[in-house]
Amino acid sequence: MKGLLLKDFYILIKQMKLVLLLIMLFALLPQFSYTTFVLVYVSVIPVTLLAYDERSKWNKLALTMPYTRSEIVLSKYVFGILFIGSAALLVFIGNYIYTGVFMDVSELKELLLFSCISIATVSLLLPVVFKFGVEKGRILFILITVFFSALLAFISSDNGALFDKFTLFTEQYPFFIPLFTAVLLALSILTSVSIYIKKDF
Amino acid sequence: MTAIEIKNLTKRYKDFTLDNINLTLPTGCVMGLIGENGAGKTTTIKLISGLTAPDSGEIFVLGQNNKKNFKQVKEDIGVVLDEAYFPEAISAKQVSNIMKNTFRNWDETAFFSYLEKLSLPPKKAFKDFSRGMKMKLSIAVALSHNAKLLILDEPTSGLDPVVRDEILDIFFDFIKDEQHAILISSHIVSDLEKLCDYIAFLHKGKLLICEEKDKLLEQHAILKCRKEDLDNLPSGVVKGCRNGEYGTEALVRREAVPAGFKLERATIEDIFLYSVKSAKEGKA
Repeated sequence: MKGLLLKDFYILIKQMKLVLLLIMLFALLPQFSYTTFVLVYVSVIPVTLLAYDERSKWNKLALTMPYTRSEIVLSKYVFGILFIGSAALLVFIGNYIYTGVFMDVSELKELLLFSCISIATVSLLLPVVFKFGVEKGRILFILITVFFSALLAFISSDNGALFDKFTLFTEQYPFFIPLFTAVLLALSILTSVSIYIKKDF
Repeated sequence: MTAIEIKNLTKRYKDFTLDNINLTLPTGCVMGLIGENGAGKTTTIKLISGLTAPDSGEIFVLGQNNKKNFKQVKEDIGVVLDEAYFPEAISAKQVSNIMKNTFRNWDETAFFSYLEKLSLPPKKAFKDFSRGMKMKLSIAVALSHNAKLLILDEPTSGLDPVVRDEILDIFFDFIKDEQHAILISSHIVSDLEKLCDYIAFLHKGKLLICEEKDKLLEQHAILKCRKEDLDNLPSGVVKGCRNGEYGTEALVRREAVPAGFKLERATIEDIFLYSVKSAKEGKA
């Protein structure tokens, strides 16, 4: 699978320089609302990579090489999660540079929460794109993005009262969000693989 | 050992059916898949490579059913598809790095010497390659991981005659090893005539002929005569004919022609064209 990840890395470096630059810039800015942007934006990277694959019909070629179909699907998830992890790390470092101290526990929890939201977004997007392709999947993709934005807006409205409730809930059940994300991710991978295995190229 | 064995292979599309194909390619041999555009060459190759699943039938590649543990087998296969589908932004050098992490037996030295031999720039982005260069890169990749079997879908189309010749030479070199085999499709029949041991004719999803090249050439001949002479020949002799202004030219079964007729050597192209013509006329 290393070859597939390396290929995606090359495409990212060569064709998405601007996106990378923006992500770095916002990650290093000292405002948590930007990090939200960063992590949500990062979650569309696997979809963008799939769009490039679709355009060059790379999948045909990859299938003639020693890869199973499951590996090809899995590589997109692995890449996405690695990238979300890197972005979170970048935010962490940015915070240190700005404040001079490391994040405290509550800030770290928040970072973890947003990372989980990104992974959940990837989990929702990828099966749709594997099924319908990037073009047709785009409409659903917009719907999902709107849904998440609305959710975020809803959570942060009400002078943060709801957000406090939510925080309280996650304090009481600290493993709920990560666990929920993990289950969603697992289901998503299984769905994508079963879609991809049936595809004719 | 057989390199490729196809049994009762059928694949249905809305407007096209690949119909009950049977063929066997022994190791040490080259098989040419000849057919018009849309005859089913690419579909056959996609089915063998596992890009597409058949509706029925079985395919064995290097002795292994291509539905089971095919990943392992793919280490030993070099595939050139009808087009080169590399990502636009990457260079040949990056392709090598990707393949190093893909094929266990990736041979970087071989790859770069092919790049030089085929005058491909290592650092140029793939999107700036000409069509010929793209195909050459595909061929270089297929040849640089010690494959035992090459599956090539029109690898020489879009290439100029000089390069085509160079590439055919590379294939000749490859097939010197008796463990190796090549399946190659093309509509440049003269290329295949030089290279192949077996010839398979596809027409509208059906396999018209699959035979050793030498046998085909031995069995067939071209007869030029007047139309009346042709009509007097016993039935089953003439496999296809073309009436021209100055007489008739026909593809005939050499052994069945009575003595006294002057026969000329038939080329694979003749045999192909007449077979397709008579298939179209419903004789075959």
